[in-house]
Amino acid sequence: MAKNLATDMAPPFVLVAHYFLAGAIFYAFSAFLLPFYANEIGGYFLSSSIASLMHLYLLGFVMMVIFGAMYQLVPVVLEIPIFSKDFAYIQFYMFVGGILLFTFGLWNENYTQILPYGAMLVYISMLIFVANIFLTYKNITRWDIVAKYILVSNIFLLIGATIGFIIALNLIYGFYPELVNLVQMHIATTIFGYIIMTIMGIGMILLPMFSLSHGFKQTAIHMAFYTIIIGLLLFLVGTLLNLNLLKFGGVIFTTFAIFAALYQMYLIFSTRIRKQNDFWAKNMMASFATLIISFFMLATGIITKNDLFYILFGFTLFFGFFTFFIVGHIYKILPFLVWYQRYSPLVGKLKVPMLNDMIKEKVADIQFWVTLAGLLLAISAIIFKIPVIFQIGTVIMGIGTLMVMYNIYFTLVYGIEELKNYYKQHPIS
Amino acid sequence: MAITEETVYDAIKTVIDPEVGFDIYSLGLIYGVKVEGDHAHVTMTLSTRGCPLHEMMKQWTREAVERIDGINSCEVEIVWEPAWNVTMASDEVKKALGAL
Repeated sequence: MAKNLATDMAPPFVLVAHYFLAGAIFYAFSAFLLPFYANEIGGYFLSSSIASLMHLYLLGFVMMVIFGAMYQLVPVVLEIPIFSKDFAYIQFYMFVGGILLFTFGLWNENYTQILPYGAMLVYISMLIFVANIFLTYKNITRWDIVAKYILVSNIFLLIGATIGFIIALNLIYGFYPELVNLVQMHIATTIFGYIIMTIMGIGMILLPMFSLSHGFKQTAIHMAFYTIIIGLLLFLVGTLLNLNLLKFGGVIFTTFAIFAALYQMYLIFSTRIRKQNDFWAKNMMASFATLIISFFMLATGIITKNDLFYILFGFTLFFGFFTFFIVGHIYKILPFLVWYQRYSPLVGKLKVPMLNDMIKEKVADIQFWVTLAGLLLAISAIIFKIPVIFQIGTVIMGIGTLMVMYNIYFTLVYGIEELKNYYKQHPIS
Repeated sequence: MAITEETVYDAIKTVIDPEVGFDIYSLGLIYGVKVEGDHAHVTMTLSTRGCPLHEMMKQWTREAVERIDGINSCEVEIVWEPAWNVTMASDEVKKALGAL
């Protein structure tokens, strides 16, 4: 139906929808499992079961949605077509299969028979993604700050995924005794180098676009770009050579970069024309607030050398910042994908809905407050080490997730009956 | 009867930005229209560079203008200078967005 609108530059919408739907399912799955971790909240943050859930959530939800969004945004932002849509489909199926095997292997502590195959699939799928992005860049002519962020974040993804695969092999062969060093480098490159750098980069497109902001200076985001690269490189070299001073310098530079990016987001928000604090704006504000809180937890962890604060840092970052930022954008991007498939060929022929009509705004609004309340309760439970409160908090967060699922379902089935009637009366010749 | 620029603007007013909910003329995205015989040329912008609606907006505008009796072809040119800002939108749009 929508083929008549497709051009080289138009994003592959069905492909993007694959990633978004799989991401939503992994999000629901992670939310279901989270309350069962109540007795691990005061434990060691490198436990296999925690690593399993974190990978399910980060690979299955966070990175899945980011990959999908990149396939949509890269062609329009860089004004070049994606190198290969076939690569993207192959990557998708390998990635889903790999995540299931890998996280099951981790949860089951089956490091030799299941985990390595899952790790290999995940690794190859990421290599395909990175290769697809790099080959797309061959034809780039517009080198703005977003293009630079996407390129460098993918270089970090390549490094981070390679370290991750080395960790998986190390679990079998034990050739490198400093597992903690490898894990720290893996976290730095994937979480900060890929996920956060990508969010910083595409945030420069998404935030002004949805808030209609104009005329803001971009110095802060440029500064953040160089300082995060310096910070991550210092951290990697420091970790590799066991030089704590370099590692500490890396943390300082990276923290500075994150706060510079946050200042940039503040500048964008302060010049926004759309003043309504709708569900998207609330999600964005909560995401940036939880990012700041998570960094205070990290700083406290470094100063006090108390593992509890690293758990708080990870929990607030993953289930606060990432969740609010991604859910807020799912509410914006998914209706657009469905609208494009279903309604764009009918523009001018039929009264088409607005994108906001395709989301139950009231449900999205309540979901935001429910998720926030659950998160705050769970964070309090981690601080005071009260497992039952953690269970209550994460169950409330789970209710929020169900509300997100309801809205996704609402968007997916929106207008189907009405359009069936329309096509009965106006058959496609 | 010769087609006037006003007729073309009226056709363009039927194109709605589904994200913002206003037509692209009221949003101030149309920078100019020229009509020469049965050919129209529209110069427009978008609120954000990198907007996923880029190609569609262009196509909808072209199709809307080509639906006018007497217009055979329409070329739509997207420009980025001057960059769009809310002062270019109508008062109704500014008010609805909270910018007035």
